[in-house]
Amino acid sequence: MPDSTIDLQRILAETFVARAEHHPTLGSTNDRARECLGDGGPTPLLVVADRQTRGRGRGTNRWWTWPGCLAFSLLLSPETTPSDPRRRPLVALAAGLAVVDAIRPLVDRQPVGLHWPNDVFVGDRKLAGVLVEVPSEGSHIVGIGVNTNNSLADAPEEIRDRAITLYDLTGRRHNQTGILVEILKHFQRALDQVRECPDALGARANELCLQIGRTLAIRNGAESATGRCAGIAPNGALLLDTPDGRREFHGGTLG
Amino acid sequence: MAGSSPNHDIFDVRKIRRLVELMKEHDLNEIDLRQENTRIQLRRGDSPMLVQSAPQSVALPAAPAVAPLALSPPVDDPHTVSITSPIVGTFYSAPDPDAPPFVKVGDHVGPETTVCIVEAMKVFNEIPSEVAGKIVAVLARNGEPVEFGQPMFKVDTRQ
Repeated sequence: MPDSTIDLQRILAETFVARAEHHPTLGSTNDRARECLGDGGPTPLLVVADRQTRGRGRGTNRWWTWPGCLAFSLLLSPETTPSDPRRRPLVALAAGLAVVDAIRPLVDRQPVGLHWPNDVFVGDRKLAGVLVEVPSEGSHIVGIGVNTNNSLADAPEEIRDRAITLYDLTGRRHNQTGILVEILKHFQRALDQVRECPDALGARANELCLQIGRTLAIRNGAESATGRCAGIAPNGALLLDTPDGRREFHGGTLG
Repeated sequence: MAGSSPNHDIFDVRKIRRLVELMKEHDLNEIDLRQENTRIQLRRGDSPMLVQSAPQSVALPAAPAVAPLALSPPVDDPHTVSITSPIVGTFYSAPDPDAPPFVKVGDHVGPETTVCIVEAMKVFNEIPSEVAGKIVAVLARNGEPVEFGQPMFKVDTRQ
């Protein structure tokens, strides 16, 4: 059986989380965090679920949370996150970097890094995803899904050749609470960087970008472009060297 | 259209019909076309559609100018304000693909009403109206890019 035990007391003792919930099943941890908006409770709030029936993804995408996956959301107050929407992508990037830093020590000699805008990949396969929602009052709901103790053998066929799990990489199960504590510690430090030295955070994301030098096609609505990836800009944007020169992309999906 | 008659009447029924179609297609509440002494103004929404007459009928050149005009702000009115995008990103009119839009033409909004989402780099920013009034035009299309400062809605603050 996958180890889905979450020790909330340890998380509260060792991390910056001020309130925590663990649910066997939720529609989406982001939706549950949103329900707690304005309830007067302390933040950061952590919501963890063993299973999500409607895990969020971009557009019609869904995050598949099958047994053993680590899925959680953090509700952060407006006081601790950027009020300028142009700086908010750095919060998502900080979350991606925190997952990279937590996972790297567990995976020997494997190329763990980022795919723009903030997905965590091992080689060419996705290990973790981040999605941030910012309600109009300015709180941030940071949703993170990490393939930890789940196995691709149980995954839907359509994602088997695109995803990877920690269990499949290492051949053993890992302590979910331990991974979560490490992610949260790294995320707290990265959030400090968002406030204090955002350019350094962007530079680190650029160093960990696994797509540099590759030819990428990006589409945003009816617009599309193709170019050679030149990395991640300090503001989190994708840099592509196109036939029209170097261009910066803030939105869109990679084909 | 190349080769069209230069003496085309602005009140040509086919042209009016095309303008009405464009208003519906782009969810525009009102359009106001002017050229020299001629003006054509169409309005829809709660009130019946009106066609206001121009002081005199003059010839219009060929029709192609109509399409871009349909995407322009509906009126140059001091009581009508724009809700603009605070970032470069992608405009979403609804919270998810299966949900109805946050707002539509004719809806009344308050300063805190969420009118849309602008997403950049998987950060979904819910955009508040910041003004009270009635939505009179939706100027951005679902799933399409928006630029920093680009008007996404027009709000009539008198209503």
